[in-house]
Amino acid sequence: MSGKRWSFKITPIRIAMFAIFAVTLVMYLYRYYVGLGAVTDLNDAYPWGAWIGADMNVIALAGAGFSMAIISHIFHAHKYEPLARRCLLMSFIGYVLVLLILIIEIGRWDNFWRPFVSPNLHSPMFEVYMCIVAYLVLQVIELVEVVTEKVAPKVQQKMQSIMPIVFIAACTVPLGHQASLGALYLAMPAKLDAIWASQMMPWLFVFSSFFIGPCVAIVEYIWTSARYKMKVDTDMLYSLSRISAVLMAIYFVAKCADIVVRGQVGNVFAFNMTGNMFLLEMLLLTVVPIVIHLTPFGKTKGGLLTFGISGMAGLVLTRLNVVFTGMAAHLGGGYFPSFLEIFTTVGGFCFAFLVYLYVTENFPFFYGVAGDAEGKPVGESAESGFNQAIM
Amino acid sequence: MANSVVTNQKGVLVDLTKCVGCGSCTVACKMWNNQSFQHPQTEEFQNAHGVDVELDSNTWTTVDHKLVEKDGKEVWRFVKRQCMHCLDPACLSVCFSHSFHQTNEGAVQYNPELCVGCRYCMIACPFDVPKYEWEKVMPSVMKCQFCSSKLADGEAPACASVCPTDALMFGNRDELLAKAHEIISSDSKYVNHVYGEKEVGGTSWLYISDVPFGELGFPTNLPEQSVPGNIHEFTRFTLPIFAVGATAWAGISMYTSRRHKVHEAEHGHHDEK
Repeated sequence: MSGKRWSFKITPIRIAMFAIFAVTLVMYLYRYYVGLGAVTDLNDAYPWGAWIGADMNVIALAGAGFSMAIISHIFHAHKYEPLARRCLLMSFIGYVLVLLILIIEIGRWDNFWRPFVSPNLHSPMFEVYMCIVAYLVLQVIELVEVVTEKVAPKVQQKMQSIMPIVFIAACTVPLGHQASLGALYLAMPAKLDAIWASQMMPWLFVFSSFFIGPCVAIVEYIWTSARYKMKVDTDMLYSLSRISAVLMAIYFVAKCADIVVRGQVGNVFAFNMTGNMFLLEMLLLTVVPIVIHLTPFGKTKGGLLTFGISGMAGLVLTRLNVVFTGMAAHLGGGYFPSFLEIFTTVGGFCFAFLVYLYVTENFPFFYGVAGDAEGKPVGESAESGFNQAIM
Repeated sequence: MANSVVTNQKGVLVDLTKCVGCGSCTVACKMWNNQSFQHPQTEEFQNAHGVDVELDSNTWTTVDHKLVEKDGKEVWRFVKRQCMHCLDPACLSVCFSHSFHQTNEGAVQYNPELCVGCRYCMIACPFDVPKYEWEKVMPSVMKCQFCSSKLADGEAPACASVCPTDALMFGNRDELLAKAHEIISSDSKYVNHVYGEKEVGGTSWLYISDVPFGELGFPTNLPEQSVPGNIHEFTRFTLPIFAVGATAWAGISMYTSRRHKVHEAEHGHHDEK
């Protein structure tokens, strides 16, 4: 294993992703040289665009890290622990991706440190920023603990004394930024479409980012199993999907109550752009997954995969609907992401993907599902699978 | 969320029935702030008054010429636009690096030194006032500063000081508010509404008009609660969330951990991975 540890299988798709990321880095330099207005379609009427939309989604999906951690470390559902590890890794890469996008999104990147010395405690943006930074630190500690388990057991032993506190903190801090992302839009009650402009938004945001965790975990697990031709433990995934399904049902009821209380039923069923997008969001995020879960199809690999993908697509829609659909009437149609905005976003995702592939292939215990709770090096058994990797 | 910094709240009462659309105020603004008449991005020459003129990073006030219908006839109305200088400003409360502050006179000031450029103020402003220097490599947010140095010296802002028709009346906000109500109650041509009295918690700039404000391009769906007040409905829960969250997780964690140990002890081995 030692000779192969630091290897990276090169495939045409990976070369393409490398190339896109390399071009993205050149675009970064160009953006820093000419400024924000020259390379984006952002304007005075439309100050937030594709980059913010991408960040909102990545953070929401990266909620998988904290929700799976809560399920496995707080509720001690040990059978999900391997999944929690993978979600921690994906979540960490996701947050790095967010920062990668943000450093070109902000107009005065040289002032990124100002909020630390000139804080405004009343700003939801401040809470988002501080919690993300704090969470990144906590994630690094968690990742070091996982990596040292095999590489430097003595270090890992020493870390055990602080890990309970780290776990608790890492399960608490994301509540802050996930909710605050929804709170950002509490500032625009007259601008955001009334279907979404609710005081409940922060709580609905944090709740949905929590129950999406199992969806992300299930999709990633099934995909990885396909990569390494490993057997899929559908029973385990089914019981995990139940956690999501129950919370989705609660979310569905809460969302309906929110719509009814604020008298938005008519707007939801107006069969216009905003109403239809809201219905689609609810359909994908709650109705479709719940129905799948209640039928025998929900116990099959295909059913579980559909469950997860539908939930993730629905979550993406909830965020995009707030950033774009719900704001469109006020902001107008004066924005379409520029080539550079789209390319750099794709480039960022390529980077995230390559890092994920590299880490999972070189630190096999990240994806080890069967038996790694026993301390058995799962990488050994899956080693042969490396060469058959699909990508 | 009342701000204690503001001890001498000034304001301007705009009587839209008196404005003739000459644009003197926009010229005075450009001169006082040393701004050109070029559009910052297109670099084309432009007046700051006319039909469809808009605020930009180089134009802190405009006079918007509006053709509206009144009593069955088409009439022109001229609407001065600039930062409203909210009593409880959205920009100030959403800015995470405190780039905004209020002066004693209630002028909402922007300090580019602290700005990170997230542009949250732009999207959060109920009146869409802050504009960005998109053309610059190191851009800042730009908006009317209420001629704060003039206000501090007890003078009227540049725009109000040059108005030839007294459409812009400068003074203490509470006195102007009383005056506005006096005017609209004594003359039936006015719409019975002082715009800026209650919108998003009140603004330093107040408007009275003989044409409904909605037809003149004013946002009419603004709540009476200020934006900071609305956000505070959430932020006041911040520390409780962390406290309750951390305590709950710790409690649940200890409970489930103990339950597993008891389970293992009773069964002699753990049957769950």
